[in-house]
Amino acid sequence: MNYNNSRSQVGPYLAFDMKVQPDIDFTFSSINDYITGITRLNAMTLYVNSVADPSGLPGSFQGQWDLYVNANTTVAGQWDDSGIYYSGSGNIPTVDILEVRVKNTDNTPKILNFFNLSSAPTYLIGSAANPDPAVACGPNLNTNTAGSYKTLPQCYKFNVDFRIKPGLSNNIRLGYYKIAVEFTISSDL
Amino acid sequence: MKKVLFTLAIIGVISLSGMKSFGQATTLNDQQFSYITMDLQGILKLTMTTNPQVDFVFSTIQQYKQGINKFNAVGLWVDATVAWDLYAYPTSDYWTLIESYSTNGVSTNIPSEILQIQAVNGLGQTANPCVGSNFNTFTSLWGSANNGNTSMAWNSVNANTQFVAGAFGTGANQQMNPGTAKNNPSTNQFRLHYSLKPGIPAAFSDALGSLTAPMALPLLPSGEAGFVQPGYYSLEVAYCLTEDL
Repeated sequence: MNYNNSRSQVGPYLAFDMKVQPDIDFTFSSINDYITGITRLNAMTLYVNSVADPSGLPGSFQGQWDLYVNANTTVAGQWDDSGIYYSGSGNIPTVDILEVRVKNTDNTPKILNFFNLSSAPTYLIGSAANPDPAVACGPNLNTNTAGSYKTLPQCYKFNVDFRIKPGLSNNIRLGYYKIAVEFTISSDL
Repeated sequence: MKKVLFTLAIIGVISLSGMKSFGQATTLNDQQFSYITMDLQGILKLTMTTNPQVDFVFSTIQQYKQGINKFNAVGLWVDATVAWDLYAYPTSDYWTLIESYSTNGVSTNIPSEILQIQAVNGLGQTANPCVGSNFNTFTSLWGSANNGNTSMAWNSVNANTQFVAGAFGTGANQQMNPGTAKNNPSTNQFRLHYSLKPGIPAAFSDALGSLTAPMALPLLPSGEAGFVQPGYYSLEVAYCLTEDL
């Protein structure tokens, strides 16, 4: 018996499907790495599936959703430190040196270029306001209605790129650091 | 009365059903994480942009008297991701005789201090902006008697170490900042001028007499003041780039 995706058929349902949580390593071992930065294209993919509550009752989930991203670290605003350092001075790097770009074929995210990650949510679809106006799938629209990556990948499938460009003048203490980047999809009620 | 109670009971059930329907409007959400590691490695890269061998040939009286200056004899480029210091030292206290052309004079214990070095940055300006700068004018290259590096080890840094850039200690104005030579010619590029002035006789008295504690060549067997025996000599000069610790 196969239960795969059985929940997505009935609703209400809102989730990232085919979830993988990749480990992405950035190693800066040359002057060129520091100056030009390192970019990881298509480092991860978000598959959004949103199914409205079929009851259609007032207040029930109508399929609208928000998508946002934030850094998840022990101390807000700065990378988690592993205790391994290569230099004796400088500051723990701030999370904003990690740049994120989320894109799909129809350019539905609100921010299409690389942006600096923050510990506070950066909204890519929708906003902190509830509810946002419903926007159906379409090119250059901030699509937030019920739908699936299976039928409308141009609006519901997102590729994520990461970039770090430390430079040499930020007084960063050299070492080994880690960060969890958290993408959240939430019903927009 | 029973009918009234039954009706109220039905209304009550309907009301509860309605509340349950609203109760389903809980927030749905899901998270997906990406775990990112960042390995910021320390890089210190020193590049000599010139020929590593610098030859001085004294073949005229004028060259002995006036000396020879080799401008831009050594070019150094520094690329660094950490704060750094650059210093110089001879790998031996004395020049090494390779071949002698005469038996007059002394050929041993000729101190490294007879070589004088001046450093400028890539723009031709004073090279070392830090406190205790050493090579901003022509300065003798100190051997262990003056620089305290008795082990001739690269990591033997002390208050008497001669810095091309940076200084002993980690306080303010005692280190150079991270950067690249290409983008920072004023702080990460260096040109070193070399000078040797034997004089006649070749006692190198200008250089040796200018030291805080003046030095002299060994005496001749006769007990008279020494001078350098004509010959072919070498001295190895080390430039060391190190993190400012």
